Amino acid sequence: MLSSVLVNGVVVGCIYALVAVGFTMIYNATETVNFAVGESLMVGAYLLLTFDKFLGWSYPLALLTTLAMAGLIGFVVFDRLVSRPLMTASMLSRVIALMGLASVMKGTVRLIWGADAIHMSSPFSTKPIVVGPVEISQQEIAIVVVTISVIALLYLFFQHTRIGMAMRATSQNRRAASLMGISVTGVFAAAWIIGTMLSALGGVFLGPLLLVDPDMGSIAFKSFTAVVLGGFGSLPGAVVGGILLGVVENLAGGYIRSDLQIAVTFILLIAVLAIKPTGLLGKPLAKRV
Amino acid sequence: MTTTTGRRLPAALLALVMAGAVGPFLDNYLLYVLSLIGVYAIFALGYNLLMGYAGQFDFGQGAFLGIGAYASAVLQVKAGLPFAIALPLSGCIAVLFGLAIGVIVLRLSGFYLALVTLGFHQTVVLGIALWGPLTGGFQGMTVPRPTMPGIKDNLLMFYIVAVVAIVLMQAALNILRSRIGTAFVAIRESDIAAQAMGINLTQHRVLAYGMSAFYGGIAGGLLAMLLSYITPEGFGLVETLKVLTMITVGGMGSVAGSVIGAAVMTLSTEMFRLPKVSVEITNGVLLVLFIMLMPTGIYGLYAKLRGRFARSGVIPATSVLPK
Repeated sequence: MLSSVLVNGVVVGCIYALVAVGFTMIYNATETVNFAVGESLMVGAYLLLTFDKFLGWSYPLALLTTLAMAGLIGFVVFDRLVSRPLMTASMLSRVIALMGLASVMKGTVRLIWGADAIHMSSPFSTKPIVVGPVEISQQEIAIVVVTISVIALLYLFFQHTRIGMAMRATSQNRRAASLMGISVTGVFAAAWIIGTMLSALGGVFLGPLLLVDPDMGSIAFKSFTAVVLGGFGSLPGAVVGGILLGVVENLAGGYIRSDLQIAVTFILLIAVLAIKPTGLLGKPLAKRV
Repeated sequence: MTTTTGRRLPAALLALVMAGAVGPFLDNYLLYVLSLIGVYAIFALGYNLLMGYAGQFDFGQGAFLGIGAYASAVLQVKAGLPFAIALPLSGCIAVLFGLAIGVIVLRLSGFYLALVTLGFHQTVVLGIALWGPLTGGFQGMTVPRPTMPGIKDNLLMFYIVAVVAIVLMQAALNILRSRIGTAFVAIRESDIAAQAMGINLTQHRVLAYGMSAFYGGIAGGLLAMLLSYITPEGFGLVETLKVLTMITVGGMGSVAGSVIGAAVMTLSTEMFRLPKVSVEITNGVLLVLFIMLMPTGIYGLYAKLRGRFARSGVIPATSVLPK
């Protein structure tokens, strides 16, 4: 019982972590709180569903196309249409605009694919493999392995590529970065593209675990909590927070009541904010007057 | 200050008399739509007090609507209270929740505040859905309608909504012109500066939450009466989005803007009989367009044309939106 609860927690936590990392990248670069991250996830799941199930493409091709489309949406819709015109607007304006965008995305998906939940199959077997006391399916192994590789790739990207370093510099000091010749708008675009692709990947993984429906984006609340738990603005924090939240939530679900999950997440969020608002790995916040 | 209040009181009375005189000549559907506008005007006004005036990010306002609706329904059905007592009580129950959340988020701002209120909303909806014996669970529950001999139901409901809406609007105008309203605006502009000026931040933030919860709760009680059947699903995120669109379109930080927003959004939804999908899309598009092109909303534009903000003494929230 305990081991399977833990495994489930880590698997779901990996998905939260992917979305949380995308969210944090976007925040670090653009200082925009992406309230439409759940809808990026939802659109990712629907795109894969379309290419894989409805059009019958092979899974790898469908996955690549989904990620490419997600990147395109991140660039055109999020960066160019919504974020760029509001670059100098207040945080509240940007948040409201993003909530509006989230609503448009939900409505559009409902219009195209209908309001009913759709089952999504996975290319990996869901038959459990027994390793000692742990039962884990191929699908769950795939989710964990892909998440670890994506995070490793992102680490290399941030440490060793020019654009990755430019992104880190921009998040530290936008003005100084721009004076060093970094194209800040280019960094913004890169953050939106990668961030949206990561959440779409989260949707691709989440689809087979749940059902795919237009309201599945509300899962973003979990990733927001993961971000706070790990420390706002910290990429390693987003990963740790995501996995930790997945485990805690599954423990509570397994031992208390599974339908109380959202309440458990909420209580955890309030507890973190009351005890350690900077999260596990976050830096203290100071407000400039 | 007193002169403005004095000038507005007759306007409120006039509106009441007009509503009373026009009511009997309207058909049921029109009465329903007008009542709906009144309910959402109250809801939007409460939200505007918190968001537009006190400047507190809150993305869980729909929770108070749900609490008010269910409190009023449960008090009438399970406790057998008459509507006239259940409605104010439902407002008070919402206030308890509002004060609680106000205390929880005291030290929070910005993203954290938005997040906690979002979670609070989802938890409330879940709580309503799971508390089956009391609320009927996911199936929902029927809400009795107040009756009075000699007056048809829809007209009676219209009168109730009109009286409550006008009283609450007048109350909001008076409060906003008092010290409290000025303190709200000061906190919105800069909480640190407001504190330095001797404004009690804790007190005023909790007060703003309590007030907006009261308006939300009353609006919820009235909405339950109008709809006569409520489900937990009906008080989800969509309601928060709706009211956010209303104050953005109408004008943030303005009482008139709240009413304009509620009227415009309710009328357009009802007139075109929009299905859920189109409501989501139109609300979203309107939010994005207004924030980009007309951040002060319809009332802001009107006031700019009339040059009224200079005289009214209250700075509209959206005048500071583009930083």
